[in-house]
Amino acid sequence: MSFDPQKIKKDFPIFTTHKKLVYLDNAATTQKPKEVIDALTRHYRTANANIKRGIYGLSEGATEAYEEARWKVAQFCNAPCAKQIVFTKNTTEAINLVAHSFARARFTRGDEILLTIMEHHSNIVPWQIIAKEKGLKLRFVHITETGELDMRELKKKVTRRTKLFAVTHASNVLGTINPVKKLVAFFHARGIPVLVDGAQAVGHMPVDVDALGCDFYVFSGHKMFAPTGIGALFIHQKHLDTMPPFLSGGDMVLSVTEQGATFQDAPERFEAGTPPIEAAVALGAATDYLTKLGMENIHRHETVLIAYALKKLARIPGITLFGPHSVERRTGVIAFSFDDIHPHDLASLLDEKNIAVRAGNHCAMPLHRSMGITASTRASFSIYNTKKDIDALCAALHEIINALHA
Amino acid sequence: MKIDRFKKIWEHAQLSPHAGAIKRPTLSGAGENPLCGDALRIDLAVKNGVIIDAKFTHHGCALSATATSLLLEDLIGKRATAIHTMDEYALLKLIGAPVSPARLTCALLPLRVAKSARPK
Repeated sequence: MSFDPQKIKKDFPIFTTHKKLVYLDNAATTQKPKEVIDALTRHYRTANANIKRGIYGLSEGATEAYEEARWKVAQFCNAPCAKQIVFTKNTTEAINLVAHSFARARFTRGDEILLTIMEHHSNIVPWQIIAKEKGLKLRFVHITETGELDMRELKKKVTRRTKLFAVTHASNVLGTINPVKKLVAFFHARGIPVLVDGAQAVGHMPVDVDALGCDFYVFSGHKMFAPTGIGALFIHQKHLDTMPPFLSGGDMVLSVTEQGATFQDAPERFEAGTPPIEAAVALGAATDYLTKLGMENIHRHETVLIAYALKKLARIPGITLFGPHSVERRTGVIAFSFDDIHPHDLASLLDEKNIAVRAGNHCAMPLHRSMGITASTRASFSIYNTKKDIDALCAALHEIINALHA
Repeated sequence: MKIDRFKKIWEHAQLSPHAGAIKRPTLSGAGENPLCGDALRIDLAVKNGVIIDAKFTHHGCALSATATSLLLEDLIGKRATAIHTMDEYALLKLIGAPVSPARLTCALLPLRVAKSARPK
């Protein structure tokens, strides 16, 4: 099918409510299409019951819908088996799960976890917590001037004690797409498992976890047109039966006595308590929507937008652009700064013109510090954005700069 | 915030007579908004319980810089104890421009830092 962002925009009711909105904060969260909103409300209207325990038709139907959503997510990221998909609250919870289950059980004092400086706080802080508890060491790979991983440094940072490499698939600040498949091959050749944070990738490009070969792949639903409160963790088959539970309570047990419990297999083992059933169902609907549009088409569209944005933004006096110069190696995310206007001030002024961007450190303080700045302004694109939105952003920036320096 | 209003704030931040440091301050406080990178230090010179001079060093947005400047302007000549009785609404009134909820941490940083000032 042809990819028409103007037509796609009509699928999103928020743009009917806010007709002038230029939404360029998709890396924070995407808007929701009618299909997803309908799936959510349809579930409440027609299928709502708690799952797995009810011995009645409505509950069995809800269980079926929940498991169908799991199957859809598995299909979407090409997980070999739906059992390898654990529903979590979001990317953050998925990484916490791996830290508190996999790392806590396997790593011992002096072991090392290798991270990159471009990670979101969600792929740093859980490791800091577990490192403190277990006496582990965190090491960081830094970036080159063009915002790509410094592969020479990476090779030097791997030691005999490296027990895990955790890396983002795509940076939420620089837009850099990391060569995950190559990285997985490099680390697996040294017996080191790899966790990939796919939060900024899954809604923007085709993702095939089986082809990537990673041990863990994590992402959030709300950054791929689904509701907040639902995310997913892909676990490689080789770890599925050996990881101890993370959160515990109802639903994840086989039997409970006064002094102990036995646990279900994955994925149920990792899904304690009543999950956000309707959000999972809506995530399934979001994968249908994305599949219908075609992930290759989406990636191509965003590549065109970022190329256009790089060209247009570079013409604004005083701007500094961050991230790779090559559009082939980046997603539709672009961060920038000006010497004499703080990003928060700039975002407030853009808001006056109905342009929504992000300002601050984007949950990536170590990255900003390594670049010698405290904050940046970020525009991030999605399927409903057009060159007109970029024109609106650039015109507003020109106007602000001119007004302040007049 | 409208561009005209912002420009006044932005220029005030750049031209503030209270920018700088006091060599031997009676009271001094520092603080930051780590999530956006605002960093602020306030020095106060107090004589007989009265604030006779006030300076600030700042790195961050124009709103927090201007809010600081306006706060110090207001405090000079008042008793040092006035800092502790001053509330957020009083500072927002001094700023005089509408501040959105997301920018309140910027606007109110100087009050937090001033209240934390201790003898040097």
